[in-house]
Amino acid sequence: MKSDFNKRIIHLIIFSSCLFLGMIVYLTYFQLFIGDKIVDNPYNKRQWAREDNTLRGFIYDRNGVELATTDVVEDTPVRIYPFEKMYSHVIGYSSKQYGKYGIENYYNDTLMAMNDGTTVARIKEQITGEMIRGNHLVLTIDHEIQKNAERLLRGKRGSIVAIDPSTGEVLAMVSKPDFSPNNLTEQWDRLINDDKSPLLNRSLSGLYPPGSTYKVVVAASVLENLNSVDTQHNCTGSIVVDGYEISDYGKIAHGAVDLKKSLTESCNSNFVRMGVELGVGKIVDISNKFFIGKSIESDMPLRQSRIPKESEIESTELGAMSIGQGKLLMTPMHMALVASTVANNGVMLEPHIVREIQNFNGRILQRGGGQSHRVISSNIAQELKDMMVAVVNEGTGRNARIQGIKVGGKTGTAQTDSGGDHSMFIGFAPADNPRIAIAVVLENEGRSGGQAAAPIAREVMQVALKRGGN
Amino acid sequence: MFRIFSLALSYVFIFLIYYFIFNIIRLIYLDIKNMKEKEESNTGGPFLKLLTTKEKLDFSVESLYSVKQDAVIGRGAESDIKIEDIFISTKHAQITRDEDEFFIEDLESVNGTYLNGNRLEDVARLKNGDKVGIGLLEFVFVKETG
Amino acid sequence: MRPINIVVIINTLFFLLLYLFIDPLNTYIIGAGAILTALIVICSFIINRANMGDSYIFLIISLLSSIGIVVIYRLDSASGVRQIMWYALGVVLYFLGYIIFRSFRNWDEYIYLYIGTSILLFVSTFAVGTTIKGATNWIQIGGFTFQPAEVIKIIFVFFIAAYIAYPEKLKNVYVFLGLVYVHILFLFLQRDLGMAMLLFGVFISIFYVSNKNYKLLLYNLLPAFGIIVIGYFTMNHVQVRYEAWINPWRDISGRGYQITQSLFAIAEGGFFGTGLGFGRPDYIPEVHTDFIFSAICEEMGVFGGIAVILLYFILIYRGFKITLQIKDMFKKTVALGITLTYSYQTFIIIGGVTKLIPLTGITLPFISYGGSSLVSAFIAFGILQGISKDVLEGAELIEV
Repeated sequence: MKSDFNKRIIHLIIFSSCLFLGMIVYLTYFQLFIGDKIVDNPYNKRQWAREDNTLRGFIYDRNGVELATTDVVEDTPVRIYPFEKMYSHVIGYSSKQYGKYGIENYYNDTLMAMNDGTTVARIKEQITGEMIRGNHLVLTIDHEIQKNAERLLRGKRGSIVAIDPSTGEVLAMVSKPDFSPNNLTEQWDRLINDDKSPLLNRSLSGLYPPGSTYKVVVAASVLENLNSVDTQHNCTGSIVVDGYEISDYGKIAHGAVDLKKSLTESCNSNFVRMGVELGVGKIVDISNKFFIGKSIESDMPLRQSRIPKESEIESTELGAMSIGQGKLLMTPMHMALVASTVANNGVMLEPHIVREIQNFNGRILQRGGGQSHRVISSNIAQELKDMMVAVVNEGTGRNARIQGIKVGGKTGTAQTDSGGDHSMFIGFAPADNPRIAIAVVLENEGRSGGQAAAPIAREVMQVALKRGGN
Repeated sequence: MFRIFSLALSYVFIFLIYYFIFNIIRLIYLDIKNMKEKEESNTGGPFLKLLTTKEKLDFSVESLYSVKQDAVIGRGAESDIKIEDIFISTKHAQITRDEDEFFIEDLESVNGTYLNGNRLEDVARLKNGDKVGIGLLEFVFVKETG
Repeated sequence: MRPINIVVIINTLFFLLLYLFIDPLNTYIIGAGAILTALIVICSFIINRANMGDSYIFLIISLLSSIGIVVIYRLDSASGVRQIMWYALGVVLYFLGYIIFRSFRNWDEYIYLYIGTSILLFVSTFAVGTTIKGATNWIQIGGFTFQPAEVIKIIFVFFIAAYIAYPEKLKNVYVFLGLVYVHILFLFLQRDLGMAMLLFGVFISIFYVSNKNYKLLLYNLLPAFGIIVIGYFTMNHVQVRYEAWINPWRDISGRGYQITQSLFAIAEGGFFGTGLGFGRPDYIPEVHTDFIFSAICEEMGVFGGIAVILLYFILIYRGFKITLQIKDMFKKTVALGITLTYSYQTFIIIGGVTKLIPLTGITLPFISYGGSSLVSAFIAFGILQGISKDVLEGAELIEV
């Protein structure tokens, strides 16, 4: 009887041991996996104390122009953005009340020098009591290009993204509407309640139907499958798929067209027909190759472009997708990446916005850069390039022509459920050795891509090309 | 300068606390090991149980000595119960068994043998719970169990 | 090196740190530290020399108390000094508990006394009690407030033990169960959920050990769930606690404030802590009492927190060992009850402040600031020490 007792007491011992072990395990788990995530919470006032004692690193464009600086006013650091709205969606803001956004957010740890050589450096700083000096960032952005892009987008809604196709460096990124990051408190309520979403970075997070710009992707698939697809078509201004009619822009009948002509004139009928001939599998396949429906690694939070599940695409959807409508959605950054892939002989570079990280002394700690991915063969890329040059020389992209320079591109006019059509253009220049790839998206502009977006793209590319090699 | 010291000190604590814990666990482990050994060797019958805490001693001694037959307690090698206490003589005391009773007598030791605090002059009978003092050690004689 | 010496070194360093950096060059600290350390050494010595039983319990309790004193002192020097005084009082009561317990031989006969005293205390809390921080479980006498629940904690253990020793004194098991639930109900009504949970845990564990009737055991778990569910739906503060546990992030400045601030502190400390004096425990609410463990984790890191948990574990282990070795039913149950009480109490509070379980208002034994909790803990372990002496006498054997 006694030993029965004791046996049960041993059960209780085991139970208590489990409780204590549980506590230890949980504490360890908490610190390993959850700790870092919550430390940055704005309600953690220690964060404020730390920030008040840190000289936040400066942010420069690729040529050393100061885009964000820190002044010390009465012992407290104050962040200053000399160019106000221009970089609101690139650099963002760092605010005690409203948190952090943009590069101030993604690179927060770096700007505060929180994670490098922590123990030794931090201990040293704790001991001396001096302000911690954050690390500086040199962006890939070219201030001149950004300046012009911002000016050109004023009064409109949408995005302009310019990339260097051979490196993936983002030369300019503008999203409108935007805001001034310098006095958030006064504007905050208005900004939050504005249904035009001035706080949304359309370049990275705005999802738009790519419209005719998507024909570049479909054309790539056609070129990969020339022996199973007929590229010749007699365009009558519209085509019927499964009882559903898809018309060309303005119902224009293009007559006899081949692949190249279909691209330069942006013939919907032929592309719908070819897309249906290729079939769901191949369309989804080429889209995935271009990373549509997949996530792209970047030092910015790039939203994934959307494509419906293969099993859910029936023929009318397939037809719509072949001209970039239907359930397809892409971000302007991704559209620029499509252009840059063609420009770069079929290789896509992961986009990045920070060129260098320097410590407060100017010593380079890290260089930016992403991986490259082979999307299409360089032969196909070359053919696409030629066709896109034709689009600009003879086709819908005429407004993007630059004297003396071979420019390649594709216009797009996406229909929307609410409001006017989106006016879009993707392109690159100069075609033989491209230094810039660009995407311009004008939300609900109401005019065609060739009319509204192409001229803007031309001007931005001109500025970039004048800047010379960088 | 001071802050370094303060910081260093803060980390030293954690180390010391763990050292303390380690020490305690070691002692407890030794304790258990001894108990286990005694469990196996104690097959019933009377024994001498050590009362003095072992950590203060600089010689090794068992927690329990089984006393089934006659036993000589001393420092000498031939003793049945051998204890290397310098205050214990080579042949210090003797426990004898007579049927069911146990007796203890001092073997003319230098420092004497004590029963319940009184120095032994003659042979004395050991009762359950009697305290036996030899050298630096104190034992209790346990006869009845269970 | 012997444990007592390590404790002395730790204490010396603690107070040196306080003296040099935290409350610079305040000579009182050195005095207080010296007295504290001397007290620990002397008492430990007495316990050993006089063969008063287990020699580790007092040492561990003292180390825990020292950690508590240092952290509290670092937070607020006045409270720190007061905590040292409570410790001294505690030590006196420790020995008193030991002596008084061992003086009387028939504690197991006074079951009615235990029941009566508990109920008296409960009723008086209702009648003349004051409400502090939402719980009506404090009584104010003169300038002091104390928690009768802390006293009832111990009497409860005696009550159960007395019943197990002489079950015939109560008409049948159901009367016993009824009385137990009366205790728990009172605590619920006083909004002292932590204590209710604690007493229930101790009761059900002892019941499990002493009762062969599995069905009865199961039936007992039902009213427990019943009370919790009813409590959730009827009493607002139960709901609040539950929601703050499930997702405190939704209402960081309101319901989730305490627990999120505690989690921030623990996260800030990392594994090695920010260093004593370098953290910001002042951002943690109730940091002297309920959340003192969070302050320890912030400044001494998770390793410091784990060290504290291990210390409690060793303490509990000693308690269990004594429990196993005692033959007398009453004393066995008392030892078991005390061990379980402090084992579960530690788990409830540490679990609560780390969001492992919902937060309840209960203190961390020996470390939290507070007279009543410190005093009752010392008395309880003094009694345990007294019981351990029986083991040492050789009158008890292990039967495993």
